[in-house]
Amino acid sequence: ETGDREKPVNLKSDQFKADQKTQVRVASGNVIVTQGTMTLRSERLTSREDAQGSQFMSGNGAPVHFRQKLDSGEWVDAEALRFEYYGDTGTLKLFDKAWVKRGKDEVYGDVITYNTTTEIYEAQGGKSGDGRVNITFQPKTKSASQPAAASKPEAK
Amino acid sequence: MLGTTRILPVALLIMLGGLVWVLNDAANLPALARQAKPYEADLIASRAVSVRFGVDGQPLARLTADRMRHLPEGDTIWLDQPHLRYTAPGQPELIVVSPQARSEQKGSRIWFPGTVALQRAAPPGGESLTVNGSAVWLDTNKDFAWSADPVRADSKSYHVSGVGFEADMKQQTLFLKSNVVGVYEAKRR
Repeated sequence: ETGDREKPVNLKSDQFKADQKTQVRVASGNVIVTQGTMTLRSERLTSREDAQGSQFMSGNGAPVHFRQKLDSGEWVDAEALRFEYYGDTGTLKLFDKAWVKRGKDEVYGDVITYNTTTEIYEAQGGKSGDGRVNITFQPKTKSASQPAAASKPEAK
Repeated sequence: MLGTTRILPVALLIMLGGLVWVLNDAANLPALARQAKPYEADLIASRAVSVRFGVDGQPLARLTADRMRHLPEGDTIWLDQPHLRYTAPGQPELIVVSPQARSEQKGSRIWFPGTVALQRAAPPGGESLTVNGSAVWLDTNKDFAWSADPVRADSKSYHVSGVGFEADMKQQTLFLKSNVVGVYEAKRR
């Protein structure tokens, strides 16, 4: 949800290292990061801050798994072998065997960029594999709210 | 007759030797001073202040304690309510406070058996850091502290706890060894 980014980031991991000089922090081993409705699981996570206090996170996993609830109530699930997260823009970049699923729609690609603020994602094919992007859009089933199709006129 | 003349001198010598031994034993004064037990202090100082200087002649470590007791056994010093202020050149100041400590190997290793608070000043552009732990070892030659006990580290933007830690003052790094749980507060833009 859009309010997630203002919430504290909770971390769980096997190990943690903080470098006071460079202000870089590395969590490793079963890393679980939660921020509001967002959950990110990875094997390793490195985070640092820029001068303005915006956070930048990167890491890898086998795979990295990302999950977040949208304002619409839907959930977005994403996986990849590597990720980068830009706190100032709320942009999550997924690299290598990237996959995003929103509702029933799915996207595969080598690089998928997902903006957690605008909830827009963009997929790019890469040099590896067939270099193509595969997108599956499921047709929206008629929701119950829509009136049923006019009943057939009775045969006279 | 011949037998007695040969035995008499030997007997006399034995008797004389015995007398000498008895006299020597009787002449020994009883132990007046009670022998100090190895675990007892042979030097006690109250409200003690000790300053160690670095190679540059500047104060490196200033240690105060309510009481300082030197134990001959192992040449160790026990400190009550120690307060260590550590100002290595080019490094943020470090303050270590604990209810008790034991200094070994001429102060190159210090053991804090109970709770310990290590407060490290902020490096340029960085944040100050406070580490609360227990059963902490401090190597003042290597500027290195470690413990196998639970620990909590608090900085302005993050609070993290774990079990077991290593703090390298030279590298200015803190490593938590297991069971890490933390909260990071993003700076408000």
